[in-house]
Amino acid sequence: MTIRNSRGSLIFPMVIALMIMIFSIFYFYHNAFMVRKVEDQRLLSVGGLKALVVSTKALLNSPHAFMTSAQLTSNGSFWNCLNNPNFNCNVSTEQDFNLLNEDGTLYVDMTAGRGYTPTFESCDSYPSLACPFRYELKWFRECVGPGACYSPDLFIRGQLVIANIGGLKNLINPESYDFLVKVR
Amino acid sequence: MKKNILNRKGVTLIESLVGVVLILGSIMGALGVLQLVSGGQKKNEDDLDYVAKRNQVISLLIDDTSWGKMVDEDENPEMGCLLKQDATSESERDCTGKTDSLRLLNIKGELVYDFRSAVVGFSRAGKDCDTYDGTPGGGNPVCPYRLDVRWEALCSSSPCINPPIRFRGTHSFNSPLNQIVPNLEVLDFTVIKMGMFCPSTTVPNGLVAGSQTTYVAPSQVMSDQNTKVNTIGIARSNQVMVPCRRINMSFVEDMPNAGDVSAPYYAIDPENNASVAIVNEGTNTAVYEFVRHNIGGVNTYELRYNGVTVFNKPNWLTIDRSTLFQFKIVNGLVKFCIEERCYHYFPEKLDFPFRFSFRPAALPYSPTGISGVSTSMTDL
Repeated sequence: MTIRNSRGSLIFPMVIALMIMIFSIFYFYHNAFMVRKVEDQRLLSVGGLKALVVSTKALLNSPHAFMTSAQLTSNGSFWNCLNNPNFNCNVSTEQDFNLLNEDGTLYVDMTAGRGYTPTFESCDSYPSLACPFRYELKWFRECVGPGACYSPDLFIRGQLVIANIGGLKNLINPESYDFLVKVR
Repeated sequence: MKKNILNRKGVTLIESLVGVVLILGSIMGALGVLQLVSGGQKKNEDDLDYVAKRNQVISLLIDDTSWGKMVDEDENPEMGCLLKQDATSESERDCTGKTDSLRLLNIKGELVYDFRSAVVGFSRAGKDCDTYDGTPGGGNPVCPYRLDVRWEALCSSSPCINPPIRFRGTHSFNSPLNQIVPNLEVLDFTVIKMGMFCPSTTVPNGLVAGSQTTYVAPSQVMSDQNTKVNTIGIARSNQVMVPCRRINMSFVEDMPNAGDVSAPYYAIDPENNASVAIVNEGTNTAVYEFVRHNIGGVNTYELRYNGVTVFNKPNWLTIDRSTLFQFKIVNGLVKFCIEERCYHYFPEKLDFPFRFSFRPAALPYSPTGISGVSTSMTDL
């Protein structure tokens, strides 16, 4: 048995060819549309990221915001390491640094799950498609001599973390938004 | 044999009609899809141009140079408190509640957008226009977008001096036509900036004589005992400084070691105390203060804030007459440092014009008093 138009009609093959053509055109436009949409999303995120990093650095540079943040118990031994020269700053690993806004609300919240939406609204379901960005602040110390670690060099590192969801990781280079501040 | 109605090529009339309907349907469907995609793409291109515009505004806002131009401009009068951070009157420096729409300037001081104008807007393609109509139910289809950027002094309490600045960008869309309205909330933005403007001041290059009663509060004055009188007095920086930049001031202090003085003079005498302070130029009081004294034959120091001791020298640290002491100020954050290492950070922000005051120990305890005073200033 052969599948053919026994009457020699060209109508159905033409219809099928036409539909393939139409869907090809649709596919092409759809792809172009999606490329622009992704670029749009990337640009939107880049603007939001720039604002976030600038604001974070500004608050670290604000005496009130920084000094109140430094004293948060959630920042562990940071305050003692910074301001108590008799304290042995025996902290060998990087620690979370929660940063307060000028008004005392948390600006960078290191609680697990806290993150940002693609348009940089705060969210608490990181990592997820709706909450794909997280900005992390960590502090660490470098002792200046052997023995007890009094008044060590202190650093705060800012690092963008992108959830491996939705292809955002391929669009934005997170390292562009990292920074390192020497507090002492 | 069943009889069909066939054309000459063997296609039935019904098949032909079905074919024509399918082709027409496909074309109509395709046109619809193309229109939809094209419309979506057009909207997407609008969004893209508009996002680029928004990002350009953000870049200008966070540029220190352009912000300096904006503060200096007379047409942003609410920013006067920022200009007056060198005023000795606290009320003039106070930016509490200050907020306004912004006239956005570039680094050359040229007007880029006047967000204080109610008619400044953007077309769908992101082109500037000045015919925005925000009337509810009204609108202008060729100038339907608006971005309002406001600045505000960001403080948790009053007085709000040398504050961080928060910029808020809020988008709106108003058009009488049934146009596709973008999701504007995703375009809104907030940026915080710190230390973007600081009135210019002159770097101190010397000291001038000061009076005890004028520059140090009575409670901070050392009492004279047993006829041992402070013969050196107080000196102060010859220029007033503002804290909104990076200021390093270093000095050494000639402190006597055990045996350097003999009876009737003793190292523990109060006349052997020396102090260096950051003095509020407006109130003439020492606020941040380093006091070197001697306890049990050992030179030590304490740091005071408003006359109250807040830090003492750590036991493992030794100081002597060659030790380099420093006050370092970074945008109002005051640190006390020894040999370039900062051990104490005052939690309280320095927010007033100030001078350094120097009060050496009396003779014969300290033959050369406080010396090597050097001050440097750099912008943040």
